[in-house]
Amino acid sequence: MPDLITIQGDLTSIRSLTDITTLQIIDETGKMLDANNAIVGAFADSTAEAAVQARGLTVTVIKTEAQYDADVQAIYAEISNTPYDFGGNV
Amino acid sequence: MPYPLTSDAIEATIQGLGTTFPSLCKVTPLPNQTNSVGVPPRAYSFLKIGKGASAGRPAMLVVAGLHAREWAPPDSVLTFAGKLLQAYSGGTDFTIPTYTDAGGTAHGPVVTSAAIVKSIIENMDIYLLPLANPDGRAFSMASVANESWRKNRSPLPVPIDPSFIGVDLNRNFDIAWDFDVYYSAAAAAEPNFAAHTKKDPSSDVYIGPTTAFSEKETLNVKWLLDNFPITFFMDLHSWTQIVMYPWAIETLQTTDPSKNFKNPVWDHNRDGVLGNAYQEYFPNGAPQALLNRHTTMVVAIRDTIKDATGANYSVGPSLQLYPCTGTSDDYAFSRQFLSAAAPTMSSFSIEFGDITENFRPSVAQFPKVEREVHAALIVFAGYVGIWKGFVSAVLGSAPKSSNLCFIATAVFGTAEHEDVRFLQHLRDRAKEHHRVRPFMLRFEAVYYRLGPKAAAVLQQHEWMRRMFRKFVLAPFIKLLRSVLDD
Repeated sequence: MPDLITIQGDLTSIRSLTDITTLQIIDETGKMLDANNAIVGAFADSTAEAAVQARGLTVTVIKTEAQYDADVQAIYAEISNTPYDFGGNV
Repeated sequence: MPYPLTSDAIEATIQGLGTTFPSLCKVTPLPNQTNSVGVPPRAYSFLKIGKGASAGRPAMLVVAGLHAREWAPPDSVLTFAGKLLQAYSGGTDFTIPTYTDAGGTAHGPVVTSAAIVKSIIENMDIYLLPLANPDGRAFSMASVANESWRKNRSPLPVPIDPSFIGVDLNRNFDIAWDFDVYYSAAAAAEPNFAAHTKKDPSSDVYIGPTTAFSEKETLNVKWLLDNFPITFFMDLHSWTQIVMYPWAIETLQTTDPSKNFKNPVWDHNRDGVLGNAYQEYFPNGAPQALLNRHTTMVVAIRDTIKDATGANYSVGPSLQLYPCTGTSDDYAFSRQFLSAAAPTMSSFSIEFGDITENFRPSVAQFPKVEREVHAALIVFAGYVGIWKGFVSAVLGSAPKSSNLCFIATAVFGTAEHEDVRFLQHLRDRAKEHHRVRPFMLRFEAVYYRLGPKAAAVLQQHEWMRRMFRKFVLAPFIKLLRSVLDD
């Protein structure tokens, strides 16, 4: 799994990223900051990050691949089969 | 609390709520069991919360977990239900506790009074489908390798390749489902649309084979909308801090009803995000002022979330960044245009969390997302339960616009009166001012408790309304107008 990043910049440039094959824009992640400026989340390797930056977009690493993997492992360790119990507090 | 829960534990929690609060909620199995690869059919349930059965009471439906990997909203819906039922049973406020962000700033608490909780439970019905895709969630939790699974686990006609399993349930609803018919060829091929809605069964955003509602899970949501008098709908997702209203299929306009998804004249000619020759109709005329109602609601939700955690959600139509077809909220909204007898529907979707929390917030991150879901749901339920239910009960008919000016509405006889609209506008402006807003919120907490009772008294006595209008409200409004004119 590549790094988890955000990409910020103008909409047209963000929408042009589909040709970078190692960049995985995460579905349903777009957030308009204003009429022309948006931020999206993606997974990207270093080559893809460089390609995005070359188009004038801002890349911010949210989690490195190692951090992401560690977080995923941690939450999988917490999965619970014990239902919530609201009975005791009434 | 034991977040995140397995699909089995979510169903057990739903059953537990029904057992713990038998007079306030009812658990009912959905009519369609799942149909998934490699596992037996699964029965799962929805929850109805409400006390009483007054005629015409409003109803809202909240759906979560359509996307398998979005783990926080289903748990949050369950804890919302538990907190709400506990608050009502104990006669206490519904309190979203203080949240301290990473910078050390405390937010909240956000307190909803016991009186409003009572109104919610007694004057409306809340239908909750906490987990709409149980087999998808179970698969995504089965191993780290499955963590990003988004679709359901439906077997497709060519099940040889594991990537040919499942449908994106939030592309499978019957609204412009066959996008090649709805759009022009150019609009259907527009990269931003094409990346988010596909007929390729290996895609994460696969719309499904043959037809809309090909999936058991989406059929169950449709069944809820078909069989219960739901007029407020909300679909919960993760993770980008957006509170949205229709449309996702097109940009919207409020003036030309002929430009609508049903009109075959526009088939193969709608331009999506490529232009504005076609824009989907979103009515906003009196008395419903439907677009205004939606924008009022999303702003209220955004503000309440910010009060709870400090998070800056944005608001807008679902098309904000990209168009897509077949979504649940667009479908729920579209139903009102399918027949003249269909009730007015308000419909929303929310993306909770941010990229740090991602699709699967950690145990440490969950309380923040949970607070945001609770904030959205309590203000949403309050809006439905108080405005549509409580006010209907005391005034005898539903007010006709999205305001809570109980007394002024009673005095002037209609929420559409110019002076009522003026007061509503003034109130909304005042709430936007950061110095006045805290005062307004405290004022509203008292007013919403006492205002309906005062309005009920006024409603019974014509002479009292005339006197109040002549000697109190009219001079007050005149004074306000003169001050503002200066």
